Amino acid sequence: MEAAFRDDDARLLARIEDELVAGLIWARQAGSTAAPLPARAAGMVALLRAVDGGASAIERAIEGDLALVLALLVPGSLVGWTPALVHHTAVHFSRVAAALAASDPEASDAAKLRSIAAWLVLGEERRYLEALARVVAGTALPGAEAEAAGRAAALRPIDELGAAARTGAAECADAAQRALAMLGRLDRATKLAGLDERATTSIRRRADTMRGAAISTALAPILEALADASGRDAIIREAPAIFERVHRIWLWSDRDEQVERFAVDEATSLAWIAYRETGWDPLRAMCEPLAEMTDRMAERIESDPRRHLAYTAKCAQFLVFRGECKAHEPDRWPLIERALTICPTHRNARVVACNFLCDRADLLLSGNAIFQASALALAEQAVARAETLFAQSKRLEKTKARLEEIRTRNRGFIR
Amino acid sequence: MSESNLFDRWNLDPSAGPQAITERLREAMEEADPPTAVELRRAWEELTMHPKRRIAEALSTFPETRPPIGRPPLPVRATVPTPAGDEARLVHAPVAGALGSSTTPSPTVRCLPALERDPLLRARNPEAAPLRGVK
Repeated sequence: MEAAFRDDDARLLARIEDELVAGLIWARQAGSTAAPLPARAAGMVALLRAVDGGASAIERAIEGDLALVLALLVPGSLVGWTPALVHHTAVHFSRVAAALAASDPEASDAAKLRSIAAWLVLGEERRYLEALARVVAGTALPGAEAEAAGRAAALRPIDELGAAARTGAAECADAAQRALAMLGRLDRATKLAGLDERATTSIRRRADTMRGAAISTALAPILEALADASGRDAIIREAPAIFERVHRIWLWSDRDEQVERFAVDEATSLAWIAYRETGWDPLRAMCEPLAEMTDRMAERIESDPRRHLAYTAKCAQFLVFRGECKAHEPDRWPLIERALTICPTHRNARVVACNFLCDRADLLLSGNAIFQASALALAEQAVARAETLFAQSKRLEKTKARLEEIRTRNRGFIR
Repeated sequence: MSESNLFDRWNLDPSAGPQAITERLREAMEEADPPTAVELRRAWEELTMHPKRRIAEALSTFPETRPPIGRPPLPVRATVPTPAGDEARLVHAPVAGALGSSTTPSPTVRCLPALERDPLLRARNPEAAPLRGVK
């Protein structure tokens, strides 16, 4: 006589429970209006039962408390999970990301990152994807080709991010911006996947290349606009608006240094043209949209001078430009000083700093202040500093002579 | 359900080969309206003519990892007198023999019909009901 509740019945019940829990997880993470997943998705729950704490988490989920099972799905590291379970989570979180893309971009990005981490685990493990690909290909492909196609699946989500970032780059679209930002955060996915340094570096390079391509796509119209304005002899008039666009691209790219370098490369020669124009307004207008970018570049140089060696002089020159076109002396000096900090040998920065110090000394040596010892001491300090910066300056010679003359003339009157 | 994945869209087994995919899509095609038929045709071409795309699609959906559920329970028997003792053995033996095994049912037989409806037995004498034994 057959038992009333057979092993087959137990298996059927477990299947029903798995489907129930998979449905609850999906509704909680993707929203109740999301289209249901295929029945195979319940396989993830079946595999979760084998994870430490999985069986009890699923029991609780059946009773309606999903907290444990949801926590189980987002471990600090995927190391130790079976490839099949990792594959399920890769697909699951990619579906969650797609379902939330419009309603909750932040949660969608977090889910996408989880999915990418899972794919990276499978890519590093290799054998699971290769074996699965061989089964799917059957006799239609040689084994090695099928295996390569299987391995490629692990990097496809990253390639898709690159494509998404490039597609909307020229318009600085929101979706492209999110993809670009995620390419910049892939280190978190590699950490979650437990990748070693070699694999992490490889992923980072891949992501950086894609970011670079997307940013170049965004900057391409700027080059066209600059060429067009030059062709019409309108570059000085139109450059501020064009560099305002560069500033927007910089913000879109989450302040990427590639944009800063582009801006400094393209603007330097134009800034010299503006410098030679009458008055400071043309140069001021050109420097204005570049101010934030050059400040950020200076920060980068200050924190790692060797890495940015090629840009220290250009960045310093821009700080000098900005300093020179400031209307008030107190606004000028910090920029010139910063230029000297990041590039102490910058000739123009030294000349301009020398002249500013002479201006300061001349101001101190004019009027009644010359009878105050403190004013004279400050003027002497300024001249001494100017001498260290650009001793051969003719302007400095005049200031030194004036200082000496006052010192001699007022001897005995100075308090 | 993810409409963009062809295995999900057409309820296909991701590990299925071109033959099984063709069979399943042909079944679907029989009841499809013209726009759906176009979609089916496109899916069939995608999955059967481009093995690399089939791999990509198959890997981007959930793998089949659910444990098998086994044999469904037998249907509740009709309230007819149950043969007992030797009589039962005589009735069951030829049926089980016809199915191939006395302990493990064939996987092709989803469930056994009640004896009084067994076509093997009824074929001998359609008028004879209820069965009292086989000699």
